[in-house]
Amino acid sequence: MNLLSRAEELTLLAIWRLKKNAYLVTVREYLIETTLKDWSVGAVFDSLDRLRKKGYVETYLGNPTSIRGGRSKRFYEISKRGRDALNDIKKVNDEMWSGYTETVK
Amino acid sequence: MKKDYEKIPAAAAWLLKRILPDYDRISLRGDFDEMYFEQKNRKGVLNANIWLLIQMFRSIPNFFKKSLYWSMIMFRNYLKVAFRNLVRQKYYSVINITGLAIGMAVSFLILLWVQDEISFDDFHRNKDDIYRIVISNRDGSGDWAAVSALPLGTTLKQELPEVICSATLSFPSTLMFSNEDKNFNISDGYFADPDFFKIFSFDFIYGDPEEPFRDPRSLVVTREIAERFFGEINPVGKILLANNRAAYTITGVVEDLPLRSHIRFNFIRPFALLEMFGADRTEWSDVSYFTYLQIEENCVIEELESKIDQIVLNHHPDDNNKCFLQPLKDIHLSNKYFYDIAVTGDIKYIYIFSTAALFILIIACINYINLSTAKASRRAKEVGLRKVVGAGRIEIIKQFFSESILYTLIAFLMSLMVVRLSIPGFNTLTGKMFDMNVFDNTGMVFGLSAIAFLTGLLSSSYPALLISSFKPVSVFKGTVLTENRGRSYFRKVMVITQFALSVILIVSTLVVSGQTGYMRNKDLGFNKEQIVYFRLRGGIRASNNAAKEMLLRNESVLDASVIDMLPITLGSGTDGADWEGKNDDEAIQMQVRFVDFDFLKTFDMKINEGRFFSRDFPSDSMSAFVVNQAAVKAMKMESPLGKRFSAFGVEGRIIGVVEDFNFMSLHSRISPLFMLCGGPRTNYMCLKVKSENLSDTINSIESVWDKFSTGFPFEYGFLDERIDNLYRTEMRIGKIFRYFTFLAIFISCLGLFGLTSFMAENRTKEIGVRKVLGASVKNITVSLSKEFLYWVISANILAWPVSYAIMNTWLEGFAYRIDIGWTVYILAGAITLVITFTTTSFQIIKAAIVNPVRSLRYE
Repeated sequence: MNLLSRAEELTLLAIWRLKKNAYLVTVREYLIETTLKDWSVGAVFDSLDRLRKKGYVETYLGNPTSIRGGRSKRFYEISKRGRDALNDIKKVNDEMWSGYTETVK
Repeated sequence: MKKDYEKIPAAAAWLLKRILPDYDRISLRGDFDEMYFEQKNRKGVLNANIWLLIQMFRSIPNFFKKSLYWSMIMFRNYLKVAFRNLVRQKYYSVINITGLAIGMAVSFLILLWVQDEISFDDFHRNKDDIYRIVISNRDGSGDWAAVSALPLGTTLKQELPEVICSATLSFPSTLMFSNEDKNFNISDGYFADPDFFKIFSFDFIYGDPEEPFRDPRSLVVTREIAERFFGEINPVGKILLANNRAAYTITGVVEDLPLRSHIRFNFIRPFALLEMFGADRTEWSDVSYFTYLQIEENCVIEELESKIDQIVLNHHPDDNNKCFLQPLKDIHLSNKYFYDIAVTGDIKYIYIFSTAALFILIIACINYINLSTAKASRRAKEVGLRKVVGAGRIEIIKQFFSESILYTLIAFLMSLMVVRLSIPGFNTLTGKMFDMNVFDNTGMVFGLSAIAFLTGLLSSSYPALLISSFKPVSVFKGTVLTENRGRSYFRKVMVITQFALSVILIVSTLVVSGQTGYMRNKDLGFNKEQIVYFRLRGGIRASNNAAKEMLLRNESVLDASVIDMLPITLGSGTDGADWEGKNDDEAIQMQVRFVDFDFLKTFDMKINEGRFFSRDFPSDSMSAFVVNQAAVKAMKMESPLGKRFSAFGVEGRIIGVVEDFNFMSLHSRISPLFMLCGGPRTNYMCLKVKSENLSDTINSIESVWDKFSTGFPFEYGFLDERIDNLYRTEMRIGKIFRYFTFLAIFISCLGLFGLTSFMAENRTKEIGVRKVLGASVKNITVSLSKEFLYWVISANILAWPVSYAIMNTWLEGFAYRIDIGWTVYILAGAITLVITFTTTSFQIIKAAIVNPVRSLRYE
């Protein structure tokens, strides 16, 4: 079992949530919203690229549009292996977190 | 209308282009534009710009990581393709790598040699402050000499505050030392002031460098000598008996001298002893000592020289010699000084050898350039395809540089192996002692890497530029595949350069060996064959007449003569000779020889006028002079016979003139000489012997020796061998040049062989068509060979004047020299022609006899 790093896990989940609209800009926005941290473009690109290289996501280029000066978007989509990886990490997380209750100070 | 798109500032766009990973640059740029647009709408231009700047800088590490990763992937691909090519074209690869490896190996060896030559005497701690005094005539005429006046050293130390230490050194002598039953003749013994060991850093194993001598009969020896007599124990305080008479106490042992020392001594005796023997430290006209000074740092040498000159003139107003300070580091590489005892090299040979090594390296690089440009058409499609899928010119250049890095690296490793294997042979050749440790020092490592880098750069730049310039369109149309004129023209120039360099080396080799042969075989004006000589030591010295008689009783000994100096070595000289009709302001440096009655007969010299010394005239002994023709000329005498002549305190008349003979090496002209008969200087016995039963003769000579000089080891030599030794440097140079030439030719042939096979292959179809149309094998061979003929001839024509200029300069160092005749050039031309045709004919004939059916079906 190949465990994902935290950044990869979050990015992969973001892609899953964004469905058909997952590309660098939206993924980054989503990550900033949920984690309340400022992710740099390079950092997001790095985890996207790593996921791609490991085969957890598939990418395709969208049609070029006049928006963005005719430059197409690179969309990301979870692959079969990516789904398996998410399942794995969920299982591990559930097991590790089970029985834990948030303590109030 | 609200804009839905805005470009980011140009500067940012430029920067982004640099940092974004290539493979996803376009969509990433789009992402940036989109985000920038949104930021701008929300927070304004200024904030958006700041945001963009921060984002870019924060992203650089991540992006850079990606780019690096991808360029490594490409590099791996380049190497992979290069390696596949290397294996697929074994032929070319072997030729290229061998050539480069040999070229680099030669350069490394020469680098070793040069490094050694220029680092002579660098082990002395005060090396930058040590100077030797050399002299030249005050009026600027005459030769340079390494000797100086005896009182100079002590006087300068007393009177010049800049001089920290001074040491006077005598000429070397040989003594027989004995201890119990051990007797050895030990050569290279000097008298020196105690400061000698303060100036020079010779390591003391035993004893104190501050106080090397205890009394005049003290002795400092090298470790080797000490161990010969006493083994490994501390010999300080032990006694050695010299020549069975005087006892010396060892007061110090120094470590064996480094090979890079210009002074080579086996033992040193205190100068005080020489003073007891009669050396006068106030006698300014005694110019036969070496003076070394250690001076203050940062002295202006010219000022010091003029101060020294003033001091000399104060003490000795009519001194004819002007003193100069020669830095220690210059001593080894200057060989113009007379009476120099230093081990000298020659700066000229450093230049010559470096040039020759560079030639070989260039030849090897040309091989690489030629073969890779010849092969370029085969790589054209690959390059075209790379360009179509997005490679720029830079990428292609990178690719071909990596390829040559691979070749150079393999060649580099091979050359290190070659160097390692050839070091013993190289040591014999150069007379040095290198081992692999020489590669340990950083300077050497730097030098080696520099050579390797240079080789790689030199050989890959042209092919890389050429191949990267191919345009995909013309590649796929097929227009690049046909050789264009410029390229084959360039290759021709390269091959001609290669051959011209080889021709220069061939001519040089021929001239060097011609000159060496000439010097060894030239008629010196005396007979040098079958002459045995030995130095007189012990009892035989005093009773040399009786010994001579006894030796002559043996019928294998034809003649015997007792002299002060061998005819080939520089003896004593004077400029104080006086003669009838001499002008007062005239001073001629003249050499003197002390000989006996049998000198002329033993050496088969010829008398030109008058007669030689004879037993029939008792007055000849120490009161008559025989001079040589050069002396007559120098003294401008019409009829020299009977003229008054005086020198060395001897008054007499000239009784004869001998024909000029070369009493020094042929580097210098015959100088004026006069001879005296008899006298106390009986140093050498020379015997003319029959060539049969030489070993018996030597044995009987030795038995005579033993009768007179009991206990002294008998050491003898042959005059012709000794003369050959004078030209050792030239013979060594000749030999090294032969190797250079061989290697240069070998590498050029490798390249030529590769090129021919490429040409034959390229012209297979042409040859097939020609044959179908009726050409014979002979026609085709001739037409293919013709081109090589042009190359060789133009290379020769180019190289001849260059090599003439080079070798003429070299020959200027010899007073007696050969003329460079046209035969040398014809021979060099013939050699290159023969070699070219043997190399190319195989491929050409192979291509010419192929059945046209097969060659036309090819492809």
